[in-house]
Amino acid sequence: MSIPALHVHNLRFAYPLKSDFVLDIPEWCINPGDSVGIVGGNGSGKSTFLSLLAGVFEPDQGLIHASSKVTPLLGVGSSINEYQSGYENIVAELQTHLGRPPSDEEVSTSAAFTELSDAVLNDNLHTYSSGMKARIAFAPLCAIQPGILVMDEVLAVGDNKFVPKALAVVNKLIANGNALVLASHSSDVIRSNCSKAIWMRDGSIFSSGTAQEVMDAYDDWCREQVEQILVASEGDLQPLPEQQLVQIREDIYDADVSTLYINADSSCFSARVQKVQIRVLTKESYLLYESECEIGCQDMATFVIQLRRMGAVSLLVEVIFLAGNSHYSVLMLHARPHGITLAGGQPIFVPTLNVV
Amino acid sequence: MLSEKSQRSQLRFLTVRTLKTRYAGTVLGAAWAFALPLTQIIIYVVIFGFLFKSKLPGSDKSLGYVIWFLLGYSPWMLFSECLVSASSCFQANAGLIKSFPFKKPVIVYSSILSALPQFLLCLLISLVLMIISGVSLSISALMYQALGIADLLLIVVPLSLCLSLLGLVLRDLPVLLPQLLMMLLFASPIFFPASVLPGVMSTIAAVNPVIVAINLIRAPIQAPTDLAVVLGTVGFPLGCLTWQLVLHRYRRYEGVVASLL
Repeated sequence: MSIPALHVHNLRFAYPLKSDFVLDIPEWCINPGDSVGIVGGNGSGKSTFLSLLAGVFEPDQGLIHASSKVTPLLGVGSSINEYQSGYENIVAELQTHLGRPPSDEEVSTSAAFTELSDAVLNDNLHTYSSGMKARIAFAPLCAIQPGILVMDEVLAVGDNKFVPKALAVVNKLIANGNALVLASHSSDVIRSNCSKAIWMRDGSIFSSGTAQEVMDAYDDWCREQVEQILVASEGDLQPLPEQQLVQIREDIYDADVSTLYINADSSCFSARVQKVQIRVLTKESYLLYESECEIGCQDMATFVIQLRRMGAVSLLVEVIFLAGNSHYSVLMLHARPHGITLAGGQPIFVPTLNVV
Repeated sequence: MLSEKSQRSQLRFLTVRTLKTRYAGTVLGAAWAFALPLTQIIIYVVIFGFLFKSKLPGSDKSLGYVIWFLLGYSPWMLFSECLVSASSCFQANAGLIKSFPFKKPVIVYSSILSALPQFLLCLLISLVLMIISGVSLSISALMYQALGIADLLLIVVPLSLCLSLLGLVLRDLPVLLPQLLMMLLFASPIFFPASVLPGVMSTIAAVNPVIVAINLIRAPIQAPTDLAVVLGTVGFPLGCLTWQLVLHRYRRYEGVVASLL
């Protein structure tokens, strides 16, 4: 019987100032060479679990035993320094992972992996796009043996060329006996790179098994949820009080990512708008984004939401204006790869509604 | 569990990173680390030394006052800088803390270490000025000075550890602390001798551990009182003990730091 790479026993964790969330994992383990995907909705506990595995958070109760080094890669830009060059950040990232100053060879291997030119690598990171920062954050993996690699959506901002290359590095590490724990919202990434998966809900492991089984069950559940929400939303749909109350502008600055700017003029409402909820849904997959933005006392507020497109999949953007405790008005938009239309198909056409 | 070696490596990494990036993107760059305290010192020296013509008792030269002031103000700057940066050190390194398993005292120590070069530069300047003005540097005075520096660090370290946790839950602290320290600076015998202070304040200053340490650091230019020597000598083992006690309590709370950020 092989020794597990990672063994979790009676793990419990609660945020000190957040009483409504408790992570509770009675028993869980992975073996060397395993690749485990973690899926679940927002707030289900994926990132908290990864932070506990990485040793960033300390459990309130229970044990996490790792038979080899745990290498965390938790989010892009969290450990890098904006006012240092790409090279300096690669050195810093390597030093953090290795626990010693890196050799020239390790630095040059990592720098080569980023495919960024010398001139770019000598620039400070605040001039980089998020995709370029992801390359810097990911680069040290080419030069280290991570043991147990704990990754949280690092590849979400990578482009179509970089992501397969990065995943190839991860797969090579797994083939060499390293283990992988990867949290992702991308069903495809988990299906194609993980042998096992766990589905987390409300801080617990709801289901575990092969990646195929878990992802099939998870995707079915997501589809049901989305359809329920869409049906419920149709009943709530109310006409906008004034058509000019909302301005929408979309900047597509990447093949897969675009930013939606929503300007809300709360003076058009009889009661001042207190919140705008934005939900991005897609029938083909899962709930992508849910957020609440406070308007405050201003009459005009801008809400910025970043959409990540998945190929030709169209997204349903639901913008809910809240005044007091009641849903005031709902605006449904279809965000397709080449523009936005109101739900139902008609193009957005109001005097101040501007789609770029 | 992080080994001693990797904690040392993290300490070195964080300190160098802080020193490198604190003034990154500015025209003067790292030179600001020295230019800022020097500017402050020059302003105070001009105001108190030349405009108010402050002099040390028994001396008719302003240079003596300048050295005396420098030897008092530079430890105060170290004390103040360390406490202020420690009160927000976790917020300043939130990205790192949430990405890698760091021992939290390492982050506090790195904020203290990155304040040391300014202090050492001021000490060097005061040494040069003492040589220029012909101050005789006795072995005992230098030993008192070393004891004063050690005492000061043993006050700074446990206090910084406490403030780092307090600043995490009381987010107003990093904003309020500089004002509070400024108030304390003007109420302490840094710009003027303790004899100028009214009765009660003079007594408080005589037993205030920070002022005791500063008086010992000023030993080459002004002989410390017997009380300062006794308190400074007792303060050293007491400081070591306090540091260990604080560190022991600290371990109970450091686990929640990342989750509070």
